[in-house]
Amino acid sequence: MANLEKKPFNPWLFTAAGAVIVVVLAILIANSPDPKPAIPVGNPNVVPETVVVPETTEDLLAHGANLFARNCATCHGAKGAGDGEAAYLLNPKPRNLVLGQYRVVRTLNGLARREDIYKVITEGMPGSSMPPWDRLSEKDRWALTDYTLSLDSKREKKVKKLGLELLNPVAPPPMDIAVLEHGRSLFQQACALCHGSSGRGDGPQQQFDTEGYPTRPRDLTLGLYKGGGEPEEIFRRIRLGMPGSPMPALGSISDQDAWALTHFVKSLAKRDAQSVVRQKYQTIEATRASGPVPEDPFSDEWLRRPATALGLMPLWWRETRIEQVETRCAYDAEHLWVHLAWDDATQDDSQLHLQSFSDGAAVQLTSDADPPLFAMGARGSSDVRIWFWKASKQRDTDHGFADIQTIHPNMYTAHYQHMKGGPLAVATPFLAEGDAHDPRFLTGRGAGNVVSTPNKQPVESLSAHGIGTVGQRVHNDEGVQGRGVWRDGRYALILRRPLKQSGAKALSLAVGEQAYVAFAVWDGNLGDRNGQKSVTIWHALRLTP
Amino acid sequence: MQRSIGIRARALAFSLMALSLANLSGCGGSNGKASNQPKPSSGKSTSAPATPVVPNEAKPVATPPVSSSSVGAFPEGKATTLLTGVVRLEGAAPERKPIRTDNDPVCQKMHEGAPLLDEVIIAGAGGELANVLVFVSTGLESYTFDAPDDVQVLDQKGCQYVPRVFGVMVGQPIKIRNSDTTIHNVNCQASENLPFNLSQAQKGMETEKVFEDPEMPLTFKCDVHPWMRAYGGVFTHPFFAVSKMDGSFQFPRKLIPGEYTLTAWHEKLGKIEIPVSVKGGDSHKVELRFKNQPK
Repeated sequence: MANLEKKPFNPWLFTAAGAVIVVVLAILIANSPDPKPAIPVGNPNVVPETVVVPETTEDLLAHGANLFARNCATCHGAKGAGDGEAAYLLNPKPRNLVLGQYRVVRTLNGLARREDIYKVITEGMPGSSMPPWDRLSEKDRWALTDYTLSLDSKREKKVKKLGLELLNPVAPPPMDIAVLEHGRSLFQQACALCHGSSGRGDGPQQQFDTEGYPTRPRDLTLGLYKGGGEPEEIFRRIRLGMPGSPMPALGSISDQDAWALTHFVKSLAKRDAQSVVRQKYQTIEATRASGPVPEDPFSDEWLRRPATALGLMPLWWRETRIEQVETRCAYDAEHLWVHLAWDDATQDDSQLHLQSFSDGAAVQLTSDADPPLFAMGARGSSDVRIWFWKASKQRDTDHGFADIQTIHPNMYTAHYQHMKGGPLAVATPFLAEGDAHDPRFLTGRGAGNVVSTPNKQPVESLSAHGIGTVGQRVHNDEGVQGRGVWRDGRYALILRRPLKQSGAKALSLAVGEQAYVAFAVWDGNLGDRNGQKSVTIWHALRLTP
Repeated sequence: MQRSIGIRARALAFSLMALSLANLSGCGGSNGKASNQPKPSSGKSTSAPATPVVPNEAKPVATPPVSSSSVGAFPEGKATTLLTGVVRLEGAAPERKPIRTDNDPVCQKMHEGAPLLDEVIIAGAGGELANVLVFVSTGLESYTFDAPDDVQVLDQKGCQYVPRVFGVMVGQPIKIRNSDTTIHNVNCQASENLPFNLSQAQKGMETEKVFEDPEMPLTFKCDVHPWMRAYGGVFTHPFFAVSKMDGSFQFPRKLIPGEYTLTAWHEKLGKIEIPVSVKGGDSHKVELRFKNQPK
């Protein structure tokens, strides 16, 4: 990052029009032939039959099968049995779609309607690693919906016989203290065993889903709901349960009681938590820098730019986590700059103890018009590029390489009695005292293995074409550089790469063009490493002229 | 709610037979004892764990092919013979161990002094085996039956399911009730029918359910009280019964003379099938013997 650091500070960096515009779903809606949103969120009075949806056809199903193989199979498995190659990294587990037990349903008999699946595909499931697919067109999402439903071979017969009668919540009673108190008392009877008496998801009841996997009840104080946080949706989860999960249907209580419970459950929750966590496909505008770009990630010139806040989801869901990463992007004639900022109360920049893990962040890029899966790309697609910054490497870069001997300087003399001063001291010990870096004993480093070699810079340049394929671009032919700083419970990181690349597999970026970008953040304090991380979905990255 | 429906029993019996094995292992798997399930006797294999003892008949049943044109209402007038029998367990009956109910003080209090005993195998001194679901598995393909309006109650009482084993007809209503002052949930694991998981937090709560497809067995469990289990069979005909404490059972209606296969199912001991040739007369008595397979 030497180049970065030498540049002078300039308060006016970007063009005036460089505000980052957050476009939520706008592209999709603009492209849609039907301007009405397909799923009226939070309004139970709109009956889904009125929604214009494509008819299920063989063509649509075939299209859905292709999309599924491309976007879903890595987690849900090639046949939808919830056994994809990434499944082991995920909790809650990817759904076994063959069983046809969908958690978020609105029918009295628990059979999913098309609209239920469409809504989950569109919005994802906050509180799990099911991302939203609002980047895909409506037609694509309906195709995925129909293909997903077709994985349950018994569905057609059951729907024909049993129908899909909706539970339509009656109008909620006016809420007052008495209703809330009634809800509290019902909650203690009916819910506290699992959700805990204060709703924190800490009840004593052990839980398993229908496939035998251990599960945890929702911490209702967090305000995150897989099926949406609108009162009508919570009412439905209470009345209908969540098929396949241990959440039972409270089918024997009255509507009034169910509403009292709904009000009480809502009263436990943080406000607006759902909107913070919910991932949405966004467009990140990289603006042209008019002068030198500051090298200090905490410089006001960076931080005062409008940021795009992106929701992060831990692959293995947990309640303590980094919720969002903010990004600001810029470019000049030669370089693209990606600035990231996120909250992390602890600086973890050492991996030298067995129990220590480093903080980190990564940017993933592709210029494919139809990007491969955001989880490290896909086999058969072109490589995704990954810029991987680690706090431990930053520390090595800033303060010199550190290893075990740095934290245990006497480790060898303490252990080897044949060394000088030891009881069995010999004239020429095979390992000189205090020297852990004799290349004869560091074969990996001796052979030039990039993993064993001390870090000279904090960013690695990687590429991948699917889970388990990540590899280092040994000579950093992308020319990625970066610098990250932790200050007062917050990280700020700048990454920089030349816009133009040469070579057969080059990923060049040009003004006016669009690429896709995704981010990952590791919190070392929580043991994050490798596939244990929090990620975003693909977002569009556009270099605005 | 449509309660009285004609059911086409042809083919369903076959699917029942095919399914029963898979279902057995599926349900037994919940306590990890699937491998202990005896295989059904094939008639050829003498080493089958549960060899049926057939006092009256020895010939295997050949199920005649049935053409769809011959399917019709059961000719009640020709039904002459009441099938009764007794189910026994060969060998020593396992001791019924007390169940720890201390995870729920309400259940514990209810059984103070007289602890709740394990209900998996309930056998008398002479081997009389209770809670065996006996049903006709082949021989009724030509007939249709109306579902009764009688409501089968599945009660949760004393932190147990009452009854533990029952049969219903397709379309027959089941009333699920909580008679306890503690929370129960009824987690019904079904594959042909829709599974459901119903919470009943308060005493007196009731919900009615109807199963629309034959299935054997359905498993009902309470996640709060892991010892609570119930099993149900859903049939296309009324010829099923559950053995009582004295091991006896009796079908609720009379059969017409003919060749049948009788299946007896026990949650732990598995399933045995015997051919039965009903020749006429007022009654026809059979004896079914299960063998206990020690672990």
